[in-house]
Amino acid sequence: MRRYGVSKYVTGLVFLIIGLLVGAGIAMSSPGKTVTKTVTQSSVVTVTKTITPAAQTTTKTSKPSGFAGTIYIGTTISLKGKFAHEGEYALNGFKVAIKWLNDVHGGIKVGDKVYKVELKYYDDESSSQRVPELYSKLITEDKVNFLLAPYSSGLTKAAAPVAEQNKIVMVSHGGASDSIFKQGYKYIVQTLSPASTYLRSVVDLIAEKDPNAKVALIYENAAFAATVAQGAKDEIQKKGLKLVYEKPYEKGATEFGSIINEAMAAGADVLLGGGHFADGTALVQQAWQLGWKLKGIGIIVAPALAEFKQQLKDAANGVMYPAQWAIGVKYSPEAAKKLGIEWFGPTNEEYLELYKQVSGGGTPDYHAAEATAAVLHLAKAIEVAGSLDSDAVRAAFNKVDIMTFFGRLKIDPATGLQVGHQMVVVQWQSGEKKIVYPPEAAQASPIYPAENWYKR
Amino acid sequence: MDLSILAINLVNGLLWGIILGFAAVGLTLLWGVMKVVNLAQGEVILLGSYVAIILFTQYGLSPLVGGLAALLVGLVAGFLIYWALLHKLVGKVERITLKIEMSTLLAMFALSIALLNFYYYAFGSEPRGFGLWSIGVPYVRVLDTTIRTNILLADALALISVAIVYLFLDRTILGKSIRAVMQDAQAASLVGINPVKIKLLTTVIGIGLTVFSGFMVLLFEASVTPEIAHKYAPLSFVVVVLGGLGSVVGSLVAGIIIGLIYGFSKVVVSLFNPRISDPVALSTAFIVLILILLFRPEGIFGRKR
Repeated sequence: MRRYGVSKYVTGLVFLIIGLLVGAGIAMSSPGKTVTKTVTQSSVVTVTKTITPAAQTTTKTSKPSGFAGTIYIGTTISLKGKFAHEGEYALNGFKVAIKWLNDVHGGIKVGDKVYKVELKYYDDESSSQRVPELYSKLITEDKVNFLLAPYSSGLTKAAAPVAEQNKIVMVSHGGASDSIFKQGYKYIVQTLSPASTYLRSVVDLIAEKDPNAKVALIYENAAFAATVAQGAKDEIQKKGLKLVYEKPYEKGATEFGSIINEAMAAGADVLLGGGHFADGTALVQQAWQLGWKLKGIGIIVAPALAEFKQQLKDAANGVMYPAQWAIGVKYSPEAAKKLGIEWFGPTNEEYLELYKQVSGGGTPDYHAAEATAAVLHLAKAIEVAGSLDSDAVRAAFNKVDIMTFFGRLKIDPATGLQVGHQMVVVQWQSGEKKIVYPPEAAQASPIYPAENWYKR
Repeated sequence: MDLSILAINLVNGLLWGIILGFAAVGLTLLWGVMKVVNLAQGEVILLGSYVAIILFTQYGLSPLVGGLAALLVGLVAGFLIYWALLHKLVGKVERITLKIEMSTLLAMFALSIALLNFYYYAFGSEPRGFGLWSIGVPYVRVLDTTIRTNILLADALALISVAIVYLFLDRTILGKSIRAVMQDAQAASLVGINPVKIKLLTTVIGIGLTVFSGFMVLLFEASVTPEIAHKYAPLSFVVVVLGGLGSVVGSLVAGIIIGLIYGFSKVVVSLFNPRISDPVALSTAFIVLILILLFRPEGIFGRKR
């Protein structure tokens, strides 16, 4: 009797501890205040140290010969922390644009004067706490003329209020979230395609090939993937395709048996969706293992990585994914001419060459391309405005409709959201990535239906 | 309600429930016989998954060999855990007091943290699995549901293992001794049962089965990350409480019940809001736990004392 009573307490305690563990897990996944505080304090020291010489060198080099002056573009870059990898690409991307503008283009033409461009940047350490303070510093102390946003939607959201308050134009190169542009900001402009358009090109491709496609939309239940899915849904309706099944799945999901079975029962022959690498790969893998006969598969994020092919082998073939940009895109001055718009910036071949020089032999990825395109986008707007005034440049952005190596650039005048740029669709074909859509960027024609998936 | 959707989810719930029930068999034995609350349950399960993964990816061995290796590694791990941790804490003592229960609980908790960090260090947070490997054809169709054959293999192995453990406990002298110690350790030692030997045996079998279940979990989930430990450990406790401490069959039945409840509530919640169906369905399992603790704390197959 007494023994039993004791075990009951033990049982209770066990669950208490489990609860504490779960609680600790939750606490750890959201940023702890005490931790960030110490990080911020220690990092203040390191940053101020690195900042001073950089700021000094830039002031010394002002007013070079042959130029009427210097346009300073300020930004923060994630050189440490979780975006360090993307940050390095972004920095090289900026450098390529500045090199092209100064050395090839001969400087930015503002009215009848020609200005040199310089970049001033600090390391934001991938921290949204650091960003507002550094952007204030760029504006008030370094007196930059224009701003480039930091990498990622989260950091862009942290920088946007500062740019807005100081009425300085800020161009986003790595903030894909649509919500940034729903805050009523007037000075924030987007160069890359927003999240809501990620699967749009894939839907367009499928609509062209197969107007009777029956689509299953299976995506991670998280802000980014849900925005992508909503955009895909809108486009599916617009193009008159049938959405026969829709299901969000939990973060970290590994087993998709029920979901795939439900989608098969609904008669779906096209699979769209995904989220992160792990779940996207598992979804495609299990769709394959369960013998789902699919004509088209469009998944965000996962298929872009080489590991996707390594894990899925033949099952990877036929799978499509959207990309902001990829090496091999065929955007060209001729393509611009066809569309009746102006070409601006280096060609893709020139871009790869310039990137190699700037990075010491490296090859760019889409993070670098986005960054380069953002600077070109800004430079064009300055030239159109013929002024260094932020209001004039922001107004000029509404008139800019150009083609670059990154694709077409054109914003929605009211919100600053990118509407001209199109995601390219990349498809795994015989073990290789091929850009298949839109036609002006394509290297190869899309394989649809994916025979290895559909005829098995 | 679409009946085919219900059938799909119930079939999948059943298949998952069998795995869940088997994964908790080792936990229920350790808890029932030795009052050792294995807080490292999830991490011990993962040990089996990772053993099979290493043999498959590093040495190119068939996952079936990996499964066998997981069982063997599990038995050895049980032996080590007993002599390194449990012998001093519960093996030698005659009467298990609350203090001893707390000590073993903390020891297992420490083991869980150590193992989890080891997994992150050794395997990272990326998912790992057998890729496209499958036993024979990749899938079969049953009751309008397509099922990966790997899942059927996992379920078959789980059912066979439960049957063997049940027969062992029910029919053999050693098994009967384990049950005798579970019922009354002092009385058992009075009739000549060596409690240390029984406790060692229980730990070896309990941990061995738990590690072996990691192979089934991997077959079911297709890939694992260290995070999986946090999914299976709490559910294992629900299964043990629902099935009744020390009951092997109870564990299996409770696992199946939880799986079916999960599948059913997913379908029902989906009718209202598909966005929250998964988390709500999972939390129903824990609501079941609270109800059981309140109204039938001895579980379905547990003995009233």
